[in-house]
Parts: sequence; structure tokens; C-alpha cells
Amino acid sequence: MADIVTQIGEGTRIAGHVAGEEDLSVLGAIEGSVSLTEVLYVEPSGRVEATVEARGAVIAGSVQGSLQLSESLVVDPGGQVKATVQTTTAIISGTVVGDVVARERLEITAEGRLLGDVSTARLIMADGATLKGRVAMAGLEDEPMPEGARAEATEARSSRSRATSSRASSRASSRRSSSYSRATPSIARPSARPTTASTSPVTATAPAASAVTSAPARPATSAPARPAPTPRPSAPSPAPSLARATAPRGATTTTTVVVEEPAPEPEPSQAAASGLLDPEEFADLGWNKGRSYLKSEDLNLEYSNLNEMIAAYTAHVSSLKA
Amino acid sequence: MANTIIGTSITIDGEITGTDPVIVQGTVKGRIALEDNVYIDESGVVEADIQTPSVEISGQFTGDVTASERVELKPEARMSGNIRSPRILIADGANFKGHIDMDV
Repeated sequence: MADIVTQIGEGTRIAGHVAGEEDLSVLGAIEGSVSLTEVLYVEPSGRVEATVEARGAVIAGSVQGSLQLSESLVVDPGGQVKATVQTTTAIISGTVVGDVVARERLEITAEGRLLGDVSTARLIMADGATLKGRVAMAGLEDEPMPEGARAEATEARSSRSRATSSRASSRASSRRSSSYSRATPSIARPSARPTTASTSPVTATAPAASAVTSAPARPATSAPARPAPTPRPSAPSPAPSLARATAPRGATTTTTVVVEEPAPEPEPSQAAASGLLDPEEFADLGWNKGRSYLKSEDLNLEYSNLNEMIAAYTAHVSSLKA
Repeated sequence: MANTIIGTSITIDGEITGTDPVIVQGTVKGRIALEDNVYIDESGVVEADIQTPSVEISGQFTGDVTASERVELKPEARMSGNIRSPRILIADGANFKGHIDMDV
């Protein structure tokens, strides 16, 4: 029957099972189940809450339940489907909430919205279409599979794809992290090199300086050299880590360094407590860097004895005051 | 044109309720309760209890009818069941078996 004969009027509600071999147009409501060999039309006013089996369905109204269609599903704009759908082809211009298996083809038009997992061979999405859910695109090789097996297969496939996707993402993340880790040392290494280079000359000068430590004039000569450590505090973050990193290296070259390395930390406080080195005193002289340069490594190397160093400084300060 | 038409190949097993007239050309089993008329065409087969204002039967009907206005059996009608309605028309040729109650 080509033309629609059977229709459920807008004011009519059917509760139960509807079966037939012709098109069925629903303007009213059907609750229960529908099985047709032809096409189910759910008009804008129509409402179907049922398990539907049919050749096709054209939905402009609302459908809840399940749709098993041997051929095609068309959801018109305004159509609302809340159902699990199994069909061969589907064109969605309305809203579908539920998993959709379209064996051959699934098209979501610009107005179409689909919220659910999709399994299909061909997926066509127009600009503006909305899709939220997993998508499994199957080849047509499993076309001859029976309905149930196919559903299971798609389920298995989707779970497998889920697994592979998670694996892929973890792989991606690990790749990302490895690239990060690869990137970070490359950043760290070049910065490490120049500083080790800068510290190594210091260590190289250290023996010479320690030889001069006894001479009180030494700080005066080292005074112009003092600005050299000042750029170090300007880049504070690499300095401590590098100092730490270079410390073992220094340890291998000179044993004295290791012994004195922890010493400078308490030094200033000790000095401040003793009143020998008042930071304000240095501030008055424009030696704001006094503290920092007291801490600096080269001083550790230059002055093996703390008292010696303090004496040298006080002498120097007093000479400057005078 | 918001009539409900149950086509010849359609089978409904359940309940039909509503405000629209219903034309049955197919098969209905269960119950029909409407605020409008029911027409059972020649090809229609109904095994149901019907509660409507008016019923017109040309097909095959088994069940009880309660109509607040009228029940009409056309010449082709074959009915088995009870009729309860203030007005009842039975055409020549119609087949009827059952009780009639016009005291509504």
C-alpha cells in the first residue's frame, strides 16, 4: 500500500501491540510494541513509547524505547528519539538520544543531534551537526553476520576500541612526557654547562686565592671581581640547583670545597650575631650585595678559615671608612 | 482528518482510547473506549469491549458494546455479543447474536 491508510489520530491512544503489513502514521500515541513490515511515520504530534520493529521509520514526533529497522531511519527536524536504534541507514535531522547501529550509513545533518554511541560503516556529518558518543566505524565485512551477533560484535568492537583508544592515549601521554623529559634536559643541560664553566674557573682560581688569603689586601683586589658574582643572584633559580649539581664535581677535584660547602649557610647569621658583619654597614657603603657575596662559592674557596675571612672584611671595611 | 484508521493489514492487541473517531478496517482485540464514534468496516474484525457514544458495524464484531447514543448494524455486519444503547438500528441482512439492553 503506497498511500498511508492506517493512522492513529491525534486524540487516539493505543496501549498494546500493533502489528501490520502496511505503513502506519501516528499522530496520537502508541504505548507498547509496534511491528510493521512497512514504514512507521510518527508525525509531529505523534508519540510512541514502544519497541518498534519495522522496515523503516520517519520520525517528526517523539519515540522512546527501541527501533529495529531493516532499512532506514529518518528523524526529521523536531523529531525526538530516545531509543536504541538498529538500522541499515539513518538520516538524523532531529534529536536522537541512544546508541545507534547503522549497518551501512549514518548521516547527521546540520540540525541533527545525536547523543549516544555510534556503530556504522559510513558516517556523514554536516557542518553544525552535534554528536556526543563513541564512534565505531565498521567495515562491511561483517555485513552477513546475524543481527544479534552483529550487535555483540559492535559492542565488543566498541569496547575494544575503547581499550585501544585508552592505550593510544596513554601511549600519547607517555610520548608526551618523554618528549617533555627529552626537552627539559636539553633546556637544563646548556644552562648547566656555562655555569659549570663559570664555576670551574673559580675552582681553578681557588688554590691561588687561598694562597693569598693570609694577605689582608686581598679583599680589595677581589672587590672589583665582586660584581662578577652579582649576576648570579639575578638568575636565582638555576644558581642553587647548579651549585648543588656542581658541588659533587668540585668534590672530586678539591676536597676542601666539600668541607666548606655547608659552612657559608650559617655564616651570615653567625656573623650578624657576632656583630662583626653588620649588613647595614655594608648597605651604607653601597655594598648591598654583602650578604650574597659572602655566601658565594668563590669566597668559600678563597677563605678556608671563617675567622680569617671576617678579619679580612672588617679590616677592609675599616680601611674604607678611614 | 485526524481520524484514526486501522488499516486492513493492521492488528492491534490492546486498548484504544481517545477523542477521535476510529475506523477499523483491520483487526482489534482488547478494548475500545472513545469519546467519539467507532466504525467497523466490512473488512474489520473486532474482538473487544467497546464504550463509545456511537458504533457503526459493517464487519465482524465479537464483544460487548456500550453506546451512550446509538448502535447501528449494517447489512454486512456479523455480531456476537451484547448491546447496551438507547438507540439501536439493525439493517436487513445483519447477523446478530446476543442480548440487547435499551434501558440506559
